Amino acid sequence: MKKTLLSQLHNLKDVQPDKQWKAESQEFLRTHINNDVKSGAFSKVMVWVKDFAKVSSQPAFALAAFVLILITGVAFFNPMLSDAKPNDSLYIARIISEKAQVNMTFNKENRDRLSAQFATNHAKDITNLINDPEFHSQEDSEDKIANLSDDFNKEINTARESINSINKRDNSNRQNKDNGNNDVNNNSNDNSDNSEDGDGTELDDEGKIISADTRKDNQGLEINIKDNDSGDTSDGDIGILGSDEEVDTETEEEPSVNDSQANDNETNDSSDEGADADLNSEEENASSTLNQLQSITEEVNKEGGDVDETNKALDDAQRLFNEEKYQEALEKLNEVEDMLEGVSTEISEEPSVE
Amino acid sequence: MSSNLLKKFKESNLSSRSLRKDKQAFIEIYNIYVDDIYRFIYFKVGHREEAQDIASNVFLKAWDYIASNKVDKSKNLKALFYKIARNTIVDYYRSKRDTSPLDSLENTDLKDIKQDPQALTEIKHEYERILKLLNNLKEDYKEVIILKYVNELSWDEISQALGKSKGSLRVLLHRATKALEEEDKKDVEAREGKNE
Repeated sequence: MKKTLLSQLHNLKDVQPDKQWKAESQEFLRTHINNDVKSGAFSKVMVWVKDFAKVSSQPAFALAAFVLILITGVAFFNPMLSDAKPNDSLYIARIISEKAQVNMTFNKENRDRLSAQFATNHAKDITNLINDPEFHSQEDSEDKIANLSDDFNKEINTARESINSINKRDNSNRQNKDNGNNDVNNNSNDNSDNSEDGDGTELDDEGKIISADTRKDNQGLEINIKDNDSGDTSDGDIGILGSDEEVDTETEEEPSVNDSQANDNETNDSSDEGADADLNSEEENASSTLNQLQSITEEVNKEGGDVDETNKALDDAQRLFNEEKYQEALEKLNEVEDMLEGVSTEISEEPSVE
Repeated sequence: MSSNLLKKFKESNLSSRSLRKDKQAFIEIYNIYVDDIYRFIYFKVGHREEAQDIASNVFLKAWDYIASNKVDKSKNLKALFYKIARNTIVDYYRSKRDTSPLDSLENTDLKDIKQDPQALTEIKHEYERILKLLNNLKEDYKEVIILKYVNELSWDEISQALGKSKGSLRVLLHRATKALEEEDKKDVEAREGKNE
């Protein structure tokens, strides 16, 4: 390009706005910027919203947000929804919330228990609603009652299925435990021949050390067999030591027993009457221990009985409901609820027992 | 040389602060760029008042854009001003279909105008001639010549402002200068013909 032309173009740099306009424009800009505080804050919020929208499109974030909303929803709205009745608009939300709660319970027993409790509550709510005289005054109450009756039967079936699955699981757990114990017993029996050591001691059924002169009877009681020839005790009497617990005590206190036996040796001519009195007291102990064992067995068997009773109460409630004896059906359902609460207490206590 | 470097450093610092929504820095950057932006607009629009209005709007729009968006800090603020200026001029042309003739330079402030009336007349005459030559060019030719030779933007800045690659800009500038020389030649011939 020609130098003259280029210099002429450079000279165009001298074209400038007038100073007054520059100052006014600057002042106007400053005012605009300073007044922009509110809209600035709003824009910041909008920027955050935009950023959040961008991030929320990522699957992991979306999943985390969904889980958070679900948990928050369950935590905050569950108490509100629990009062919703079957004819309320929030009742569906309550059912969804309860289903979410059931699905989020990972312990199978707790899940079944919750499911049974919710089903019983639903059945109770339906019964309460139908029992309400105002409900019958509505125009389409008959249709509603028909639908609610179907729902009631469904809820009862759900509760029954949940209770049965709890029962089945309990039975299978019990069988597994029994099998485990039998295996242990068999193993101990197999080893019994080898368990006798050089000192003449042997292991009992539970692996406890029994001295050479003790045996267990068929009721699990330890019998102290004393040989006349050994000279340890007088007259070869059979001493019943009592239950397993007492065996432990006796085993632990063996040195003192030996000491007493040594003392017996010193008083070798002690009377037979004293020995008979001891025998009687030991027999009484044994009988009380037997009673205790029987009561424990009854308690164990009672669990199955509870399930039967719960099922029976559910059947009764269903029958009474179908016979339109709603108040009585409600009472039966209350019974079921109490029984389920009992089951829930057992389940919650189970780990501490183990 | 060192003052030029210092000026560039200050410009760069103010620019990055402005992009971080620093109000004071934005006011200072306004003082630095307002003349160039006004000139660019004035040469394109040709009317003093309208050029002033558009220039004011450019800075307001630029601040609003910075304040309401997460602007990339590496972005060239100068190029951003030119980009907004171009878009605002387009909007101006859309809204105002009937274009009035260019203002005379008599209404425009000229820096360091000599007090000698004869010299002043010569200078004004020269400005008007070159402006006339520029206005005879295609719009994109005129634009690239103003940005490169009048406002002295770097290739990077022009590239960002016009949204074109540097290669295509070099070709465009070459054609634009050729066209300007042709116009100059024609103008000289026309004046010589008049004189004869």
